[in-house]
Amino acid sequence: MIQHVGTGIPPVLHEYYPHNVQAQHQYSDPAHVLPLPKPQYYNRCVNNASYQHPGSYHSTAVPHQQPTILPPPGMSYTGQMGLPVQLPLPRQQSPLAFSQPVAAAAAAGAPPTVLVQVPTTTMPATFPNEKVNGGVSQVLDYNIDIMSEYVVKSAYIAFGQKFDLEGPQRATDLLFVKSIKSVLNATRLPSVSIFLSLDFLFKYLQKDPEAFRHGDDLDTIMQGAYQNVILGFVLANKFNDDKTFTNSSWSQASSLELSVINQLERHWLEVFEWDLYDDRFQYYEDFAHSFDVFVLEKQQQQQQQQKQQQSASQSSTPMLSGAPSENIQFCSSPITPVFSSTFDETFNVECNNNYSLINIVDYPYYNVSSPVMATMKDNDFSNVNGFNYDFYNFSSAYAAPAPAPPLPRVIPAPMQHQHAAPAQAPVSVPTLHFNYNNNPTWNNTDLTNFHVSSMRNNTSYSAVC
Amino acid sequence: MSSSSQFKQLEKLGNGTYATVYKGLNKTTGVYVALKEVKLDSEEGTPSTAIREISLMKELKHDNIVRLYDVIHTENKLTLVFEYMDNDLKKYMDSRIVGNTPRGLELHLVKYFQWQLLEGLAFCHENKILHRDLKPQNLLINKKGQLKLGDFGLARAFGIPVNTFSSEVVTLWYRAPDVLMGSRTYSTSIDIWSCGCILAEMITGKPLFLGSNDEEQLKLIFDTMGTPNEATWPGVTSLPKYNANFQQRLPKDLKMILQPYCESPLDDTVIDLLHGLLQLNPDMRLSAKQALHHPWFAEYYQ
Repeated sequence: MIQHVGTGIPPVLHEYYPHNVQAQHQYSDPAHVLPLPKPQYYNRCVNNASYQHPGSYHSTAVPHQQPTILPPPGMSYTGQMGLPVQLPLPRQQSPLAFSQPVAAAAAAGAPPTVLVQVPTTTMPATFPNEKVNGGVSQVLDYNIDIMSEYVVKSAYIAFGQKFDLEGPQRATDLLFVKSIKSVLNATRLPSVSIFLSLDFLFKYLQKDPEAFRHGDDLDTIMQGAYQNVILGFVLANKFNDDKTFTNSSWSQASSLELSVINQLERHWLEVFEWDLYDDRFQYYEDFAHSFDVFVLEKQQQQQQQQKQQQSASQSSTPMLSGAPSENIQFCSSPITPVFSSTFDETFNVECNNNYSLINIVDYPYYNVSSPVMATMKDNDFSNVNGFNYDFYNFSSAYAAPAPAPPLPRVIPAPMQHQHAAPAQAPVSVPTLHFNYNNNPTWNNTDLTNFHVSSMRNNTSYSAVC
Repeated sequence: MSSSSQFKQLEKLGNGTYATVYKGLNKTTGVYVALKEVKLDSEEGTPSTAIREISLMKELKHDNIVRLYDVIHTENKLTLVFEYMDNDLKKYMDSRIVGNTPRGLELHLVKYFQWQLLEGLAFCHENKILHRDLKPQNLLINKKGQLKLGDFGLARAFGIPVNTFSSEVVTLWYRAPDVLMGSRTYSTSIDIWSCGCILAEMITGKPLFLGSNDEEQLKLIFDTMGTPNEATWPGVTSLPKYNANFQQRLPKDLKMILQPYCESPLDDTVIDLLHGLLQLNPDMRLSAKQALHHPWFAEYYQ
């Protein structure tokens, strides 16, 4: 929501403002703005702006108490960046073991002491009465389950991986989602900061393709993906939120080593040359929109699953019982940001689940009948639904030095647990489709060409240095 | 990218909000610079203030904004290399105090400084950046009479939706009433209020509203500008810290308040500009661009 405060001119002053100067949008790039208005999203942001905390912005000297933070269950990405590390993800565990984090983590070599004991029974989607004593936002403007999946899916796309909670890698994928969820639960970042972090992630990978090639095997790639998603969070939070976390808090929340976070942070800032705002986050609206669409898709999927479970409840396999939304563990209480060290209030968690305001009819993307997962192949995200996914066609974007080889997926697909072709096709998701590098018309154009600074030269005050 | 060996560190200029500033000499070019040194703490990582100050100031290249030349990142220290300025507005005004009596600046200088302040601020706002800590200490001046905005450690981008604005921004004396009452939806108007306070302070040589806490600050503001109500400021009663028991005050004549501290006669146009900047209702405040079109600045129109 761009505030246009200050354009209300007192009547007495009108006479000397012949042009009635208005604040100017310089933000959206018309070529890349999706065609639809998204008023609901903005309203959510604005309506969520009302909470207050007594923490002083200047009270950083007060040592803030961190509640004990448990690392994401099963996660132990503690190795040094860039080094081949032992397998952190129990991707070869059976789905059954996945619901038993201790066993899974033990198999992955993690110390068992840090794990959360969670009953293997179905977890509630939210804890309605949980007291929150920290985090950036009191009221989250998103559903944390769906956002976690969205973040992971985006990260997979960024790293040229296929994200498929129904596919053979579901254990790995679910664990990734669960870890991100744990981090979001602890930090309660607002959605805008999450979108910004993904924007950073895509830019980072574009600016430093070496980031892809710390290793060839899936586990190393996944580790790098996790580390860099977290780093995106770190920098987006520090850049965009008034309540920020120290790196040691991030270390607690993510169970990454502090030294890894520090090292990565330094590397990111170098790669970005500290330019975190050079394009005014021009893709914000695209992220917000693609998330809204993602939410809709998840809702439709859930409805279909419910239908199918009703119709085939007798024949469901054990794998179906571990459906993702039921199996994800909640971490950890939120951690305390730097600038809110003196919370004297507690408040309830409220996940805003009300995305039903979005009118499906308004979205032309839904006129497509093919399920998105059937259409997308590995490393091929182009031309789904007639959308330009070209940017995500990483096999061409990064083809020059060494095209990413198709990664070995050794686990045979357990065909039983795949759903029969749905009678009613789920919506297709125009996940993310902006162009950081590979648009045919902007081919390899430096982003600075689109920089607002090019307009600045019109002002008589543009500095010459 | 420079290295720290390129600069000779000279005397200390002061302590910023999160750093120490030294005068420095670029040994290659012979040009003076200001070196802002930020100690790095491994627990914290890179301070968010530094991340914002650097990433935002890199975007702000303007005659009335201090230039950031370079960043030197070493293991335990971050050094920001800035354009060197001779003084800041607070020290300059302090230097004019005779005995205990503050003295305002000459009105032509007030006008020139205020014009430059608004030019720099308009550029920030055009680029969707709020400064959020405007005060005389953060306005740097040089012997040519130039004034430049500095210290963007509290600055923030606002071109994207925000839902975690803090109301603990801006040094108390320059903090807008809507922010004092807990508003988190503020925008560019937050900086405009500070500009109004600074304008009055340049005229009289002393801060306009010298509160020692939030409540007193609001009381002092209302004593002079009048107590707002739903008629004068729709929505004010819904602000988090609005208090129905605020003492009801009527607006005073700013000219009567300021004139005793100003040697030359104040004309009505500068008072009118002050009223435009110090509107209690943030929606009624002038924008920086609008203020630059005010008749008081007629002599600068191009």
